[in-house]
Amino acid sequence: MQPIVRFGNVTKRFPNGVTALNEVNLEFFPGQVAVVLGPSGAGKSTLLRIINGLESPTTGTVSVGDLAVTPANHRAVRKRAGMVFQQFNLVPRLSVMANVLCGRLAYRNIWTSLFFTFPASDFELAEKALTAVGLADRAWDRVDKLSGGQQQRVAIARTVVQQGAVILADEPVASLDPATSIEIMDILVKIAKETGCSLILNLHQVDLALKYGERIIGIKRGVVQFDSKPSDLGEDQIAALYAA
Amino acid sequence: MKPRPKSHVWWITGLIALAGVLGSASLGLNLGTLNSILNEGGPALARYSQPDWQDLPRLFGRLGETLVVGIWGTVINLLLAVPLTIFAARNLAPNRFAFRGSRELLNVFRALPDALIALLFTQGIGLGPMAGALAIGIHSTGFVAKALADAMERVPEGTYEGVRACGATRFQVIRFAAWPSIGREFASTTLYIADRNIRVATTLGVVGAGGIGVDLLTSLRTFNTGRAATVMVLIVGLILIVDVISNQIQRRLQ
Amino acid sequence: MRCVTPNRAPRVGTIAGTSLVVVFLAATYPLIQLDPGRNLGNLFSFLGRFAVAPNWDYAPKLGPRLWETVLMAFVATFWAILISFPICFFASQRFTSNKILGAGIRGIVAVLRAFPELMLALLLASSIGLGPIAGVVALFLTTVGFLVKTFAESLDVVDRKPVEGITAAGADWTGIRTIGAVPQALPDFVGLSLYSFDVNIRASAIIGALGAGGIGYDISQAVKLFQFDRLGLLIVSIYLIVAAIDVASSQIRRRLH
Repeated sequence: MQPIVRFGNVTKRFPNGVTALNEVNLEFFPGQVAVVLGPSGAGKSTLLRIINGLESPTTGTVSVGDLAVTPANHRAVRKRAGMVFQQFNLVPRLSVMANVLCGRLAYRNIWTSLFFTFPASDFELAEKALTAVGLADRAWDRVDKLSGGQQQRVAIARTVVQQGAVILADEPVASLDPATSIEIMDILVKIAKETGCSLILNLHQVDLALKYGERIIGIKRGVVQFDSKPSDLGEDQIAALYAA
Repeated sequence: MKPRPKSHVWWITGLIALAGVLGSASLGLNLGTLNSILNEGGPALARYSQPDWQDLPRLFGRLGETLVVGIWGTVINLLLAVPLTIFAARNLAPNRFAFRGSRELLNVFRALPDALIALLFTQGIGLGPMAGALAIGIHSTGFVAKALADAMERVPEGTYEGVRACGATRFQVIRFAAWPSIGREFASTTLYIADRNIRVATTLGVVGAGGIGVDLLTSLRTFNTGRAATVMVLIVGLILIVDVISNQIQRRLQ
Repeated sequence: MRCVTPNRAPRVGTIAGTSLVVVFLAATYPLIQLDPGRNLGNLFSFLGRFAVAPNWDYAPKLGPRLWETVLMAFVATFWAILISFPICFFASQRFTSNKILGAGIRGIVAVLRAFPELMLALLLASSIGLGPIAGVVALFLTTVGFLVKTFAESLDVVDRKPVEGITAAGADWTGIRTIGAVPQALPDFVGLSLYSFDVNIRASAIIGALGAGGIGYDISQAVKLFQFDRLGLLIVSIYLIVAAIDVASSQIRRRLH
């Protein structure tokens, strides 16, 4: 099977000297739920942000499908790889519907950016996505009036209307309470399965990772420590990952 | 899903746009006048490209007078604003009547442009820098006292209660609770208003209230382009220098 | 008894600054011709002359005069907003397409702000004649100087996260700015625009006094001709219009939150 995301010898060094990723080689496959685990500052976030083009690797190459992630390709890459953030990263003061429609921006030209008008087909997609995350009745409310869990559902709907091949979720439940975390994880995995998207998640809760992950990747100091099925993962491996 | 609620944004924007276009037309501002401004404006301004430095010493004196008007205006402003602030802060005013009355007075001060107050004062107390300084002082008091009173209202009630609980008098509450709490706002507001007042003082001379403004008016009216250019260079120079200085101090304060 | 202050010693800069101001005030005291007795006496006898019956026959003329003043301010503010909005993105440190271009625009508007509107109006009057158009253009230019700077500054402080969200969703250069940043800065934009309008009404009254028309012209005439029966009405009407706009704009600002 062709990988949907491929890291080739990726190193990312920040101007302050921190090496977030060190010679990383990874392949992610369609329809798979992959969870990236690791202590804070291990490079998990950078790994995801590089796929979406929010950061550029210092050396090495990243590709999404047959597209290399380069500044010229950013919009095309982002069309395929939607992103869900820890802090939801929705635009306050806009309605829920408007925020979901933002997922269609990769398909639209400058007129949409200037006048914020979308074709009816986009509204239909957004309505479907909102129904899928259970927020259809809140479509016209201001997004900043919603609870954290609801806002994250809006953010998920935004990636759904992107109709991409990958959903990147950077600590999607780190700002939520345990019950809501389960809710959001269920929705994310359900949507990935329904749409056939590959789901790449950063998590810091090991229990959630083992429950939802089909593949667990451990990262520490920018280096991949292990990459296996949850059932093959030993407790000592996890303990070593978080040990200082 | 519920139907989309009606948004008023578009028709309000449309209405403002329509008002803007119709308003421009009624003032005689159209593509023709725009074109003539752009065509004639350049050559007209080019006439001011050769400043005449002959009169420089005297103009520097006038520039100094402008500075006098601006700074004395700010001092008068502070002398008026500090007592008014206490009446205009809801939580420090002795009674509701004093509060509403002083707020309304500040609104009047703010509503009247300084140049118009200056115009009145040139008749009332005579031409010269005093009229300008007093006019600036009164108008800017409207801003300063309002800003300071608002800042005093934002000070948490606990700060006042703590000092009151020690048996402080009203004056002591103001001196030891209100004043230290707004010290920073006071400094930055004073700086802002001093900058603004000096800027305003550059043109107050147009109504005869002192400073270089009178030279601006006479040299432009008599088409003495060389001198007008010099005056404008001095005015813009002074404003830029004051702006840089006040930005520097403002940065230090933070 | 030794007196001790709990405050820390004031800094050198504060002392130097304060003494500089005090020396300046002392040195320029003769120039200002401050004579409280005489000044206040003159002032009160002047204010006393306002105590005349208003000239009600003149009152109906106030409407059109006020309208002219407000219209000049409105038209200048309107075009200034329209021009400043697209420019502010390039003047913003965070959102500009080119750092050098951004610094250039910020430099130009800084110089523009250093031109007092009264000076611009007189300058324009010498080339296109003093009328409403010279007034509008002068107000327009200073307002552009103010709005481009302040719009850009409010763009610079918007929350980074929504902008990143819109970027990650694949928006183009324009969309990242108009959809990611503008909704956050919008209350600031509206507040600053209303503030400009408020400032411009007063400025328009002053420019009018120099001959551009409107209420300012009537005030300068009334002052020169000692028509105190008109002057009272004129001052009250300016106060009322500024107060009305104050109330309206605070309503709009509250609604927007």
